[in-house]
Amino acid sequence: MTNQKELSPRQLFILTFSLTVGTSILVTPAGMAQAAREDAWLGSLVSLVINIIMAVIYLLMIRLYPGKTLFEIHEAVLGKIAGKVLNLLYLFYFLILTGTLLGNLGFFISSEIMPETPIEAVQGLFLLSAVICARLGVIILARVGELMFPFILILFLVLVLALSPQIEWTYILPVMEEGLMPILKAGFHASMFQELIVMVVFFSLVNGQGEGKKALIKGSVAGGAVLTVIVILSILILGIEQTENSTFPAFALAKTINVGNFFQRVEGILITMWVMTFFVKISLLFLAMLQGLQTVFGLQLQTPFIYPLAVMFIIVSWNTYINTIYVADIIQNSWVGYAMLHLLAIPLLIVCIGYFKTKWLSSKASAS
Amino acid sequence: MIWNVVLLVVLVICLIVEVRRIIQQKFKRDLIVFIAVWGLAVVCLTAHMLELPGFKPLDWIAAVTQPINKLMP
Repeated sequence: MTNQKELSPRQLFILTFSLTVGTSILVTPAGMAQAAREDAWLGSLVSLVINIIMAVIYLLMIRLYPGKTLFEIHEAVLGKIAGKVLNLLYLFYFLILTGTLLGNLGFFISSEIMPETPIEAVQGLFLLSAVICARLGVIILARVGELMFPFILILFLVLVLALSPQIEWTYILPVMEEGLMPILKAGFHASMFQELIVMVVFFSLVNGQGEGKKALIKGSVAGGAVLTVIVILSILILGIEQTENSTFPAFALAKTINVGNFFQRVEGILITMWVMTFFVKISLLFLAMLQGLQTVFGLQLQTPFIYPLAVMFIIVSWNTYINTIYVADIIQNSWVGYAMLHLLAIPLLIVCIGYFKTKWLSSKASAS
Repeated sequence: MIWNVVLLVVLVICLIVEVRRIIQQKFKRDLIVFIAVWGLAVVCLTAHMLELPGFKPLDWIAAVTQPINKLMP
């Protein structure tokens, strides 16, 4: 067996896909339906386009400073001190995000599937798997992703095919009744839940940067396409009212599968898909935090920080996901702005400053 | 309550094992940062156990990003 220390473009594609689908597959349809109603599917397409734009911005960052991680790029562009401060802000963002995702997972499992199991036990078990992954590293995670990906695809296809007979095409009407603004708003809000910037932390490990760039774009497109299909199916099968009012409309969708009164009660398909992509997302965030700590403080080791970080994740999850009303209010009113800063505004600023610096330095060098 | 005790035990074991490992490898900076991060984890756990009302990270984020969110559609 080769001692692989690099990611292949295919592995990057799978990681990007899993990161995009991650938790969004379960919760995005409700938010989009609330914002855009029957046009939520158009909002999903807008979200896909915005994700591609964000991926292009991240690739511009990577092109300016090839071979560097996200945290190294910040320090190269802004200088040591400002770069480290920015990195600490990103680490805080990743910490809160991971805690909230863990809380979301625990709430879903304990409310929909195992109501008598303590939420802490569910969260602890998932965190344990993320800890094991963090100890083994991103290459092992990428290989696990390669193993899981065919199952994710097959389960998704089974889900779509099993749901197809129940489609009511009239549920998508009227189209664009309230104009373009709700669609753009829904799309923008949904795009702030795909944290593609995490992939910039690991892009320097990719073997074949040209192919890697294509893999990043393809991964975000594929993930966006899956989310669009789930949103469309939610509207066409559940209808707008049920989609809007469900906490987990994709789960409600999977519960409606009934083929010949034989193939039914298979919502486990969606749960399996979601758990696999969720595991990859949580693990990537965990590894990104470890990488960030190592860069910010110039550390030799990453492994000692795994358990303290894991404890912080679970405590944050207990203190962020207090109840669904609280989280829904924060997500709707506050999270989008906070995420937009880290996913769009700051990377754009970094690209502009970095481009100016490299241009200025190269013109200075050519002048001298 | 039992879950807080489990986390406390994890932190104590982690402190003993990792400090020994870092000292053996003589990475001074790693030791300082580890103690800081471990200390932060202990503070978080203590704040949670005491059920401090202000320990809600999403509220901090909402407070800080309020000006930005007013500009959002």
